[in-house]
Amino acid sequence: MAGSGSAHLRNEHETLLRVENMVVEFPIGQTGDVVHAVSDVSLDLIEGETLGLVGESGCGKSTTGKAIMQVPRPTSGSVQLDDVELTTLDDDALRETRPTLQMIFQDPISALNPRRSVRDIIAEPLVIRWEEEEGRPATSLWFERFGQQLFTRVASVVVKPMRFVLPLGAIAMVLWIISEAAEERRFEDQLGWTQLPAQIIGFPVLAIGLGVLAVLALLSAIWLLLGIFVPFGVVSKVLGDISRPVGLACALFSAATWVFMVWRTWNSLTGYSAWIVRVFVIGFAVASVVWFVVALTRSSASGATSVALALASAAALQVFYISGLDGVTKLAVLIGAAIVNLIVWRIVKRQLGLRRDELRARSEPKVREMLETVGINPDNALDRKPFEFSGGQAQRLSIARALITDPKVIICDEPVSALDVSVQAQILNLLEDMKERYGLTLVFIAHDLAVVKNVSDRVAVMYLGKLCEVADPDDLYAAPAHPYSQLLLSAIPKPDPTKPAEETPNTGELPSPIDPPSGCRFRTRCPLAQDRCATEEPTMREVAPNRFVACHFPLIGSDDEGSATHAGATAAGAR
Amino acid sequence: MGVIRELRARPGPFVFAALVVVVVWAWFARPPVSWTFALVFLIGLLGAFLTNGRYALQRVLGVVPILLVVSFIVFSLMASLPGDPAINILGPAATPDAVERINAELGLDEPFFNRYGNWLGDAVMGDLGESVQLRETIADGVSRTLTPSLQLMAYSLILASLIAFPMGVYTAYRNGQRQDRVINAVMLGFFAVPPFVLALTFVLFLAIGGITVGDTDIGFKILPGARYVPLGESVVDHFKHMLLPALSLALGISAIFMRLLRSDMIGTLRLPFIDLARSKGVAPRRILWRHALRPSMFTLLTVMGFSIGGLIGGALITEIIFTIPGIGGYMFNGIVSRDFIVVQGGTIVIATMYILILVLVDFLYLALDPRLRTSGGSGLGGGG
Amino acid sequence: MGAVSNIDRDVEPGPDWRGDSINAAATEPAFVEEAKLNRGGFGVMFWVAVTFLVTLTLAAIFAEVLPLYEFDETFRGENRDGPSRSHWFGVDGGGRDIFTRVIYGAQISLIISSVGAVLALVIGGMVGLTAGYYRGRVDSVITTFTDATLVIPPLILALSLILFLDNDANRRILILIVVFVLLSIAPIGRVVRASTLVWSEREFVLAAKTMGARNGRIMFREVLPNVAPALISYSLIVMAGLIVVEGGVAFVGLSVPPPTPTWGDMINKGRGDLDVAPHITLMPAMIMFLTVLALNFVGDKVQERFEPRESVL
Repeated sequence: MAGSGSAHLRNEHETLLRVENMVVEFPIGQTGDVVHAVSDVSLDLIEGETLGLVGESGCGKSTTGKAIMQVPRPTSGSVQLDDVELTTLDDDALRETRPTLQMIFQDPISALNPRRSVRDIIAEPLVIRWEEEEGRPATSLWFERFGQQLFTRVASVVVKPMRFVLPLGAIAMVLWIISEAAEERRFEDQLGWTQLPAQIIGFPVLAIGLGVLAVLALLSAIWLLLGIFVPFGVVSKVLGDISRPVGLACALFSAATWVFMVWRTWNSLTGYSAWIVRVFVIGFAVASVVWFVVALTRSSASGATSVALALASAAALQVFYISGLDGVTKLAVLIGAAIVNLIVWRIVKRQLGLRRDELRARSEPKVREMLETVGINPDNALDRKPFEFSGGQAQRLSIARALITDPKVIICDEPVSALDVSVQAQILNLLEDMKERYGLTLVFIAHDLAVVKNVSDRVAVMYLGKLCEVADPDDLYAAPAHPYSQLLLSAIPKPDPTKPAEETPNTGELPSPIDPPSGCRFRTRCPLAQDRCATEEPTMREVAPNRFVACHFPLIGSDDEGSATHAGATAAGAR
Repeated sequence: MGVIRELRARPGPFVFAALVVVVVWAWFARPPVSWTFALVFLIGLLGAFLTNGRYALQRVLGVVPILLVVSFIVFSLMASLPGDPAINILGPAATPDAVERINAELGLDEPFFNRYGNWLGDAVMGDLGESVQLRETIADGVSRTLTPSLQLMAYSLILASLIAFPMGVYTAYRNGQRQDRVINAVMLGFFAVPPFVLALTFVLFLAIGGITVGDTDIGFKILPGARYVPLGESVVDHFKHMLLPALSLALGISAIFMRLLRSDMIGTLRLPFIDLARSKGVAPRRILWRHALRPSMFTLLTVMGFSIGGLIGGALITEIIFTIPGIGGYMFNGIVSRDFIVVQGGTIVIATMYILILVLVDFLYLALDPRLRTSGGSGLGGGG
Repeated sequence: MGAVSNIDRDVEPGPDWRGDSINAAATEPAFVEEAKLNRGGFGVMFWVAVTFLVTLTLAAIFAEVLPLYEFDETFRGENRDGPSRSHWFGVDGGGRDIFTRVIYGAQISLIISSVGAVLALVIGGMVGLTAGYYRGRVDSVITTFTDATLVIPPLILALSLILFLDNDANRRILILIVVFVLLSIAPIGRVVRASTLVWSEREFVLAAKTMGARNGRIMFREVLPNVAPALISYSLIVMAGLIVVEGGVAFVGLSVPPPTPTWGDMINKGRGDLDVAPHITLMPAMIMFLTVLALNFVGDKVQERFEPRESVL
């Protein structure tokens, strides 16, 4: 019989991780049903403890683990790590907490990106950390630093609302273009019956959006003139690292070239429809500049994307420019542009590659150390891809990746369930070792009680989204207090050939989490269920020292009514 | 009632039977095309509601935003095209007064969004406007031209299926072997030929006598290369005239169908239940057609839905080559003669049909794949 | 409790964790006797196709400097002559050398289709990636808009857009590129979205989130490298499709205007003489067919080789 309640939680000041009244629900399928995956679960961990979380498939234990990690956030409830409430943190603050709380997954191969090398995969948490902390790559050009500070400030204020304003502004612009093209009349004249709503909603939005765009465009123009722009902007940056005057000169030259190309193209477009094409070109270019600039102030990784965008817009402009030529000139310019573009691309790649190499070199010692710690030879493994490893080895890699940021708490979501039994022992030993060595606190999720027993300091049993029992593993195994725990234990085969095989009671199947049974959720399979179990949900209470059960008629201690009723099984309460 | 429960449990055969009845009735009774289509759709809707009402409702409602967006795109495009409708109607020597009068009459001087609203409102009621140039309502024009297009589409699809199903099953069975590679190569060839090139090749070699190499003639004159004969006039002639156009469309499509069927089938044939059937001594042909085919058809079904929709308006060039008075040609002439209201009306009708067909295909999925049917019940597997 | 036992000091590529060996499938008896996967090269036909494409591309790029006739040079008196020593593909109704015109036509087709395919892949890819990764409302909105583009008959849409964007023919080639990109965003977006939906469910994406990676980083660093390989070969197929659409547009006369030759236009013009001078239509048709075939074939083979399990369609 499963229930809610937090009697089993310990003193708040002692616990490192504390989960209170967590509820996770999500809609499923097309029909609007809601899965009650986790309903009012509370857990806690003291530093250095291993909490084992057991239950059948579908009981919500994995979901609990993921909800603790906030991926995704629980529907309600509180998760406190080191006295910091995780559920209310905003995304950026949550990101700060990530190094402290890590996770290991069930399917070892699937948890590693098949297209990346082991080196990259394991270094990834570190690299993310560094990039978040440090933002852009270090630069030696003074105006870059100035621009960077300016933009970081502007961007952080501006970028968030832009997400809403830009699409609306874009739609408004499209409508404007269409109606302008359709008639020679002004936009306002075209509004007709939409005039009033548009004026109330649309124009302020449009104004804000365009205003913001205008400010950014102005700032971008300033920065542009200072030379931070592709295709030659990156060249100037690289050259600037070598020699400042050269970099500056190159930057100015690049700005001049860019302006020249834009001006030539602008002039070469004729006719009414030219404006539409112009909007397209300029819009693209401005958008890529803004994106490029904003992204560069954050990290070089997304800088690559913005570089690509800017390159694309440069290419588009070049196409426009070239198409106005003819014959042999066109051919010559085509080839020349191709060569220039190739050179620029190579330089860009090198620049980005430099950054990537730098981070790699920086992370390598730690990566090697972690690999050796988990028992993988770095020299063999670093450049391989995940599929080249066996399951056990891949799980070791996952562990290495989780440990590399020196976390305090690791959530292990069925880390050995997908492995061969002989390998399971290795991995469990490894986890024990790591725990001792690094002083970890673990949440160990599994469906196999035998595994959990050896590993945990405390065990919590879950059923269909609720907690049944929380106790010390030895106590639990010796004498389970909850009927469900007893059921789980009786299912463990005992490898003693002298003892006769016991009859395993036939217990039926897990009910659906969409429509769980009322009252105690276990009552449909519980041999001790009575009417009370259908109407009243049991809450956690202490039935023996350090033994907590959520059941009206537990196997240990007295039930609320004071009468021992576990003799005489009644199958009442079946659906 | 027991019948209702029975229908709820297995709507598939019921829906199929109803569809067959409708098709047969339409063949003989010849109601207007739109009626038949509406009827088919309603039956599909009914089947879907019996199976999984909520989902069906969601799907149908979901159609509305798309249609709104489509209608807006189409209307804006047409409104923005160069060419003054008034001058088109009156001729180049029209006086400004006459132009103004026509504009007021047709409501062309109203604001853009008002015009859109009016047009949309009328269209929903079934009034798609009038083409002054052709002197008929758009609705009539569309009905007139829709029939040949639908026939072309149907024949192409049937021919394509007739080719694709056997080929797909066979090549899946002989995967990797020489027959597979040869057939694949041929199919790739069919896929790569642009339909209009194929059409012209057919016309060349089968209709007008082919080419002369040296002293020999390579080619025949057995099939007509153009014109359209309605079904009512002469059944034989109708099919004779439709054979080449349908074939030129069908070959390309059959390649796609075959590919999809083949790859899905290869996957299905690897499943353990096939080995089980084999070990029980079931004949290969029965295994292939009776057991393996049905689960392998899903991707194919979806693409079939896309093909149906795509073919209705997309066979434009084939219609031009074979001078079939279909809706593609109808709209194309509209563009050429700047009669944009024709294009508007035709496009919106085609788009609506296309979307509804896609929704129907989704419903068909519900009928065919029992896994999609239920809500509630422990279809949610392991992994706590 | 205890020291780590059995430390693997040497890592060798081991069997897949499920216990299958990589080549197990080839040795198990099956209902379908599958031929061994060809792990070797691509095959002769592949390289033939590649050679053809490369030759055609080079010929198109360097058309002006090759020893060809002018594409509008007329040879009166040889009108409608069939293929001969001096005119490899014959002469068309206006007295012009067909071989030259086909090469120049290739310029148009190849430029439009390649640039269009690349741009469409970039834009459509981003659209699909966003829709597939974020799901929910973002996905609904995006798919509504892309589906709206899908249901309009493509040729009608193309023709309307061409007329809308540029009534006179000067900038036609650019307009065509823009139009084709707009047309292709929807199908490409769909395919990318489908692939993204699958890949973003995988656990390594979840792992990246738990490491604190931003959504953009996850999309481009984790999901995209897995979605992209199938796209590479798909791009070739898209290119082939664009050549066909361009042919169709040219066929109805709305592609680049004369005197520039385009394949579709040549095919259309030859229709009238189909009975007496079929080569006028057949030659450009044949080259178009071979190009599209080669592109599809190469795209197919590449996909087979690198992603045997994934089917793009």
